[in-house]
Amino acid sequence: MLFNSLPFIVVFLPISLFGFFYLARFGQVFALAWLTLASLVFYGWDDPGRLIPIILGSAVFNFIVARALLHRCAVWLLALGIVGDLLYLGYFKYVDFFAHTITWLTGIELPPSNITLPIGISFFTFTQIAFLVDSYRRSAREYHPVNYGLFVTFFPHLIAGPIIHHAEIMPQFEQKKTFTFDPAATQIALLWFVAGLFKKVMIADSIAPVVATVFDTSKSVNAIKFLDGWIGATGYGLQLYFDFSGYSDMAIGLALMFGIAFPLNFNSPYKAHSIIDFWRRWNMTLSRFLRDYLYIPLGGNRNGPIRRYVNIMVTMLLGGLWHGASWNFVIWGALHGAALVANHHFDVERSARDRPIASLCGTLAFVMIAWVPFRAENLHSVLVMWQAMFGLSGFSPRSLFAVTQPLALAAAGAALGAALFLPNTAEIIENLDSHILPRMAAGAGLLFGMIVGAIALHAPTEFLYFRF
Amino acid sequence: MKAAPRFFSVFFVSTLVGLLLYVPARIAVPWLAQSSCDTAGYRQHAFLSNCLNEYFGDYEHGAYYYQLEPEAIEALRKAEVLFLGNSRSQFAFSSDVTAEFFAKQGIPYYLLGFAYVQTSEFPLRLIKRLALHPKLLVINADPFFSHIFKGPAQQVVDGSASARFDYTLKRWFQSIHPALCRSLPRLCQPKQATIYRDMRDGRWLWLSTFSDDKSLPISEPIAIPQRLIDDAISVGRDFINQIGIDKACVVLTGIPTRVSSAEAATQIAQALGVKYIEPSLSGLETIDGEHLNVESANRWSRAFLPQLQDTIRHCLFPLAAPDRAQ
Repeated sequence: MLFNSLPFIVVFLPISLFGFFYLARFGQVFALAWLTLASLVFYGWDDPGRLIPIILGSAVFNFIVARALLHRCAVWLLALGIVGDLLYLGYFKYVDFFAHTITWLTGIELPPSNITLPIGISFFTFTQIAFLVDSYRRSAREYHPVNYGLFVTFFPHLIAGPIIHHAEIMPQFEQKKTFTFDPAATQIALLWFVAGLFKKVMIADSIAPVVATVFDTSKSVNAIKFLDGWIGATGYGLQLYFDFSGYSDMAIGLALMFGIAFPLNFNSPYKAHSIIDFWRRWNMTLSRFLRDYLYIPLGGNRNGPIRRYVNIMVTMLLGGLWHGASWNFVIWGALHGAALVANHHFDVERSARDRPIASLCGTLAFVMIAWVPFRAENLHSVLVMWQAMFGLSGFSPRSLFAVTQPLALAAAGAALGAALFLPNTAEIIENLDSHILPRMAAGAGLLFGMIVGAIALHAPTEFLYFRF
Repeated sequence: MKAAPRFFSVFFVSTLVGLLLYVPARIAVPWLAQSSCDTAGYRQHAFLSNCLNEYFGDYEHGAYYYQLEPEAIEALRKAEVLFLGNSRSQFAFSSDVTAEFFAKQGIPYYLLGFAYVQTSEFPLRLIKRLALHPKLLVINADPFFSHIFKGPAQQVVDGSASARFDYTLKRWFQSIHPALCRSLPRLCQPKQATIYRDMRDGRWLWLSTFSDDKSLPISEPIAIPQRLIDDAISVGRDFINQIGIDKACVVLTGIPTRVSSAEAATQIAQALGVKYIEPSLSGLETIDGEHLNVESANRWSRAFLPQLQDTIRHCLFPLAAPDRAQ
């Protein structure tokens, strides 16, 4: 089920909210069980017979292993849990990738598995690996099975994050105030939700046509020139940002409606002055996971600069592969890894303070160049786009696509301005004055009505991060 | 009034206002933007079928599938001979020669080809949906038979509220389009390539760039992969079974175009055990390398239709007096 669909907005969400607060009167466990059930309905909406057993299997396995780890701190148990999780994820996500790679390397034809990727599997697998590791480290404790079930399946984060941490979420399932309807929090929650919906439906989806045209053209024809290459890559960078941060805003708003505070996932990433800074602002919960559960266990910066750089590269390569089973994502991870190493080696953050505009432009340009393999369907398309962006395919003063898609291009221009110069959702909401709330309600309501109208008349589009 | 209830009531009222503002805007913007479709083809028995305008695009798929044009549906239901295919067959048979041939014999016929990537899937669903029982099918098998299903055909069959709404809007648009362009002619410039469709027999009436007197030779042929032909044979068998028509009353042809359709159609006809007709003509010309121009369409129809006569007699008048079947 999609957050930006009518069945979700008009039916699922009101029923889930009503059931949660109504059942909370009879006991917290009933409310939590209801929310778990609702989350399973949400997750299994398109294919319940397949999807619900997949997530329940993963949750039950990890719950049993974590419980065993809390009683008996054995490294083999931790290894069993993590290897089990990675095999589970690998089976659904990477079988064909490895098969293609073997075929490419050896020429041995392996049949395709035809396994469809279950949505959200990368997210709920990572969430649970963190829980296993913390159970082993004794920094987690034993929870009621219903609480654990909800922690894994809670629908606002289930499909595309943020990657929540048990230590910040599970205690909230035990607080009394979570189960009492809070009108003040719901006001703020609505603003978060509408802001996210606006980013997704009005901004990201408006930019999508120009991005699709450029990248589709790059697949087969060498017709992309300098200007269009940059329009396509920057357009995609903006589409992805407004799509994914829109989803995260909606997730934060939805969780808050149920009294649960989620961590922030974006902090104006395109205002970053270095790649180090970018990763502090982009998909912050993934960065946190990679730092705490991969980079630091690998040794972090504790064993000298060379080892530190190797750890960074390994972390970013695996982080890239986590996004998708394709060499394109490995290339994207390698580019960011190399840029992070260079940033650390040359202490770019210090020089960025002296040249803020140059560092912002340089960072932005690098990030956009690196998005190309993230979006392109094959390596040929990546090369066509990069050739164009580096001016190797010629310069044309006119954009090929500006003529045919002026509205999408205008949307991309406005989105770039907003990403660079306007405060983000968290900054706007944090600085809200109570006396402007009615005006905010009027503006948000107006937008919400128009977006619902748009959703009702157009089929909702998927969020880009669903494929990861 | 407490702050939170006030917030929620303002939010609720504004939501309703937003909804009410959106719907007229949603209608007005495309209506104004699609005005550049050429208005010259409006006439009593025709509707605007396709227009190379990004807001209008296709109408014919929805017009038939959602039964938005009752006169066209009525004529289609009466038709005893159906011509199926894509834009190439529509161009080839949308000729005065075809109309006169069937009018002389008093045989109701219908050109049921469609633009875009057109395969057997949409016509099959349409025939079932409208419960049509044609006595003779003429199919341009280039290769036509395929389960591939995309573009407007898929959108229409998926039948979302949005798709129905869009097609209904396009129907309403046609009732104000000529008046709009008379009042605000600048809104309707530059004119874009437009095709109208005659509701009585399904023939295309093409305007603007389509109607320019172009005489381009047929482009260099591209071979159809054998895999596609094999698939077409399998889908074709299923198609004929599902329609429930006698194989003797199915005729395949391969209209000359840049894909080597004749070769594919011959092979498919042989495998399906149906008749194949291909008039031997040289020097056919097109408007764009693929679609026959008016003169060549008339030549093609004139050569093709007499060869269909035996099958018409067999399928439409098996017991009739010889004079009616002439």
